[in-house]
Amino acid sequence: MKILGALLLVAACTLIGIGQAKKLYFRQRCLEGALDALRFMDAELKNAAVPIPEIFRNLIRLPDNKLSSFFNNLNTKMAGFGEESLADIWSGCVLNDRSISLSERQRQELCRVGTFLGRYSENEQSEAIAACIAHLEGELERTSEKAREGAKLYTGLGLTFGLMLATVLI
Amino acid sequence: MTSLTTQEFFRAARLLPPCLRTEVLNLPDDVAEGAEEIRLRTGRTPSVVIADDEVQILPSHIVTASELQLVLEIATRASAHTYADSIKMGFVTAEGGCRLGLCGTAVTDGNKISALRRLSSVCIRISREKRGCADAIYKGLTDGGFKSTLIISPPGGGKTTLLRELVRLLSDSGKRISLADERSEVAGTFEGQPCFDVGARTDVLTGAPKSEGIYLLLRSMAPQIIAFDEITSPLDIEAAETAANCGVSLLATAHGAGVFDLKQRDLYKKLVDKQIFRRAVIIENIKGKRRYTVEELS
Repeated sequence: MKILGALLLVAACTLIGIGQAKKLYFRQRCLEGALDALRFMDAELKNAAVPIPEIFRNLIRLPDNKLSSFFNNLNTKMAGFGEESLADIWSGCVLNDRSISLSERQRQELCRVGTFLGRYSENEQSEAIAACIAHLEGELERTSEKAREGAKLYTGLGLTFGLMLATVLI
Repeated sequence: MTSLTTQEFFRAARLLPPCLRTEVLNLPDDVAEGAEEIRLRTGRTPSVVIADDEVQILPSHIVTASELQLVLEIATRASAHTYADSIKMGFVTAEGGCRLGLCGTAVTDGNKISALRRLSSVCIRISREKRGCADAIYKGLTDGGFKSTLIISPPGGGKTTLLRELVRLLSDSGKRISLADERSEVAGTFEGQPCFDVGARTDVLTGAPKSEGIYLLLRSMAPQIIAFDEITSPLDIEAAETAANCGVSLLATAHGAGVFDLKQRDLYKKLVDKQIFRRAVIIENIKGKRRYTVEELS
């Protein structure tokens, strides 16, 4: 019975460690989703001058995008366009949507894109998107590295802490 | 209960920034019904044009440049890039067929305007659908079969409104009409859907310059009548002549006080002399009421 209890304790602590590691990977996937969305927006703007509300609607349909709930929320908020400017709607969603895991710096970078969207020529919007992509790509590299290291660390810590706790308690 | 004309005013007012919109929507009904344009200029109070008179409204509100920018953003549904071509020509057609005239600082590329920045004035033209406005002249225009007709009036005289109504009546009477609607003002096409009723047998081409549009419609839609708004260049006249020579009737508009006035101007002289149009409808504005006169040109 004691051995079973000890095993359960170790497993629980390891799972907590794995959970923490997953959070790191989730941020990585959110950044990948944001980059996919920005590249899609850029293509829609450059190739067909698609109106912004239509681009937002099309973004929901991007397959396996971790930001789909964000874009759903954004499309809902677009119903209030006219009362609020597009830049305000965009930044409101970027800053307040906590279903996506991004750092404040990454959110600010996305907000900056919003001030260009729909107000300037395709080229100018495209340049703003490209600058944001370049910034987020750097962030993604750092986040991926952190996630790889952090995953091992958190899993190891969870396991070690579980073992220690089991030893002490038994 | 709001009348149709008031609704059209409200539709135009929806293009205004929220703070200004609320105030404009509270204007008395007679202003809303009579307004033909809403004019906004930076540093000035807003005004409406009623029967050629510009009346200052909301004396406590001074229009700012950012409000004009927001008007453009609302009208383009936050997609200025999609409307770039029309913005550089100084207008945008918004939902409901309202046309925004734009004025500001032009960015040039050589001798051509490549963009319009820092808006200083916006004129929101309230597009109205006036069913029945052509009733008095419709029978006269279709007696013995419809013949190519030119609608003539000074700017703001109601040419587009009459054109729209005649297109609807002719279309619903069985004629196959192609409408070359360069600025989307006649049909009020927004995202592919005409906002005004232009008849069941009307094909609408938007965005194309009139002359190119006429050739395209001749090739692709086999129209019985081609309708278009505002003949303004020799190319338009050339395209109209080609269409007339192909056996297609025309229904168009031109700025002028009457047939005699057109004959005084080089551009239109050819149009009259070559008898491309067989009839003219002259619109006169008498004490705020429009009077239509039909003249035979041949």
